[in-house]
Amino acid sequence: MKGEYKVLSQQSHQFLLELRLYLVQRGKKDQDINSIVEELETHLLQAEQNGDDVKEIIGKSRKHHMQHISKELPFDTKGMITFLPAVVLLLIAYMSFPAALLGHFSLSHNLLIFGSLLVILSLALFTFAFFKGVIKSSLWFITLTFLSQIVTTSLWVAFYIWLRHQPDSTYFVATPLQNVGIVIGCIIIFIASALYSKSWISIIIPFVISIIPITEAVLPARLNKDPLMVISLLLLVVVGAYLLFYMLKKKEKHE
Amino acid sequence: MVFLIHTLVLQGTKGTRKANRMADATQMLKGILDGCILAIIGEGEIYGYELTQKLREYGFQSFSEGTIYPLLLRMQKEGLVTSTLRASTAGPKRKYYALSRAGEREVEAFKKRWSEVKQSVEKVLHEGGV
Repeated sequence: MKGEYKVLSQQSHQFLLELRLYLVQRGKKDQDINSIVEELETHLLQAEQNGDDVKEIIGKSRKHHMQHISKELPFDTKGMITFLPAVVLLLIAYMSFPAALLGHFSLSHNLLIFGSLLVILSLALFTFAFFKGVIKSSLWFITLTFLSQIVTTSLWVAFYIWLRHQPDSTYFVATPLQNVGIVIGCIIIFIASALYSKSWISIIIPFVISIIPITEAVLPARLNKDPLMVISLLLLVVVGAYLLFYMLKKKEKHE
Repeated sequence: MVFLIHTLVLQGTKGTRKANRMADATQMLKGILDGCILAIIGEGEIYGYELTQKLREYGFQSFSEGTIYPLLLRMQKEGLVTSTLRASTAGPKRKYYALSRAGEREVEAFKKRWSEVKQSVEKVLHEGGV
């Protein structure tokens, strides 16, 4: 009767989550990660039922313990060969989605060169904040992802404003049908990525980066021309989203 | 045996080659732990938590319990142990480990290696007048 089992403590649960992310970050095989995490979950559950000290299992230094486990597991070279092109495809989808959604997909030298740099920078920032934050604590996780969100949103707004004042370097403009095709293609990539990574991240990111062009399109022209107003509204949306996320997390914890 | 391991680890804490000595001791301890895990599995089918309790009963106190799972996974990949999932009344399914034929051979080889090392170290410690 599964319902009668004791539930893992928050400390153990957090450790397992950190361990999984730590091993993913170090390119270990999914199968190996699942095997280790499942075994440890059963182990921790039994230890807690027997009243053992969890520190004896996960080690006094959690990071050292995770490093120890990581060293024992081989690097997933084959997985990385398929993973890297998938990441590139995902980056392209992130870049194309907002414009195609508004029916304005076009390719320009400025967008390709500087936009690619910004996508890579944003993802690097998010990855850093996500892994660093989650290893430390829930508060760090929320603070770091929140800060990186503010930085990347501001960078994107600045980029779009800058792009508008640059000489036109467009060499391809999509037709309405092509725009629809691009949107569908991007959505398929996001869903596939979410299913593969078993996380909502690849769904949340396009939503966040689409807020900027959608807000611009929806806002009245008078407000639209004021970059400060756009940034303030975006920050308001972001802060609201994080407060909601934080409250949901807290509620989940209480339950 | 446990005393010897502790001595090896402690010896590595002095002198300028401290780091190298520590690495050697850790490496040696790792090999010993592998052999002991296999020997315990050889006593009869066992699951992870039970295995760590037995290791502690035998005197292995200074290891983090979670670290045995990557070792078991590697042993399984090397074909030294086999595993079977079985239902448990106390919680989720448990993975029981058993020795394979290759594992049995490895335990015998470990016993032989250990006996040789033990003899050599004892000779150095006793006949060498340490």
